[in-house]
Amino acid sequence: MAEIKVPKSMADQLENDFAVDEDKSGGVASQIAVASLESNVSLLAEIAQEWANREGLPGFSKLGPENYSKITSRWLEKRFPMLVSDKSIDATFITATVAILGLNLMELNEKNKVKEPGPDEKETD
Amino acid sequence: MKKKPIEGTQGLIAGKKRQGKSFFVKKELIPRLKEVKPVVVLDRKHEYAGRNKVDSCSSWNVFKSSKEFFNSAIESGKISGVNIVLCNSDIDYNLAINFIKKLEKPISLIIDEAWDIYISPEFKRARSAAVGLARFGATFGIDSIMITQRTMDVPKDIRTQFDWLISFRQGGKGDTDAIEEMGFDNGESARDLGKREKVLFSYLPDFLDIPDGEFKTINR
Repeated sequence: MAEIKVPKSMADQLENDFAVDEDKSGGVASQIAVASLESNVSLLAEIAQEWANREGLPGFSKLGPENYSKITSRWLEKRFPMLVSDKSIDATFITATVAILGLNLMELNEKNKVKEPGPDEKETD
Repeated sequence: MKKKPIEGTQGLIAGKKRQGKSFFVKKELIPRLKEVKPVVVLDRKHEYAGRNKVDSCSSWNVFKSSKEFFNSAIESGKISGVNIVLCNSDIDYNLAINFIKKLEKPISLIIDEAWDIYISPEFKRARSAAVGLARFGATFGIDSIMITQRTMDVPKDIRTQFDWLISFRQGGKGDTDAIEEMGFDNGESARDLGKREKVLFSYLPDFLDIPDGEFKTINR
């Protein structure tokens, strides 16, 4: 089996490569790009789901569905300005992503509503 | 018999999904490469570390990130055998490629889903590192083997760098045009290939010694 030696000094040489700024999106940006290029709707939905979980749903559950598209548009623009401004990325992707994010949020919002105790239940407690 | 490492080559394996690219790489290419140089696979979709394993892969080393791979190499003072490095970000790719480039030693580097690096704005640093490696890696015996879905995804400024191309069925005219731009005699349209049919343009390095089998060999 072939083998090469790795000098310890490589650690210093590559210090700058370690020091590069971390991907602030936690990899979501690249996942979205891949999913959109592959027109992989289910993957986009998964990403949206992951994002929603990460961002925390309680804040969104207080808002009506009519706001979801605005929220996700703003979110995309803020987090991934490159995606929004890059002409090589089809506008359909942005629209689809926003729609899927919105749909996922709506669905999750519904689930949250089921879990939350109603006013009557609170009274009985 | 241990074979003498030769100078690095730049190879491209292209084809649509489910045409057999990764199976070919796992079953035919990697076992031959590892006899000559250590192999490093940058694996974006856990294609090599996870599903569709082949018999020989039980001895492969799997690293969860390029940083883990790097630390292991520094600690042990060596790189050997087949090393699967899971890469999920620009940083991961950039670190792994730069590490191999700076080593300046004979290694076979395989980048899976290279189209992602080539065309996605999220992989700016990785693209720059990969293009640099494709241009200068051969001098140090570094093989740079890209796996992509379409030849047209390869940036125009590095299309002529490839020594060989294995094409599975692809998308269309843009891909056949790109093959011609690479300088290969594209006498047979990549579009006309059937499922899991492959066509080899130009030559494979002698040490790979892959039998023609179902290949259709076309020389440059």
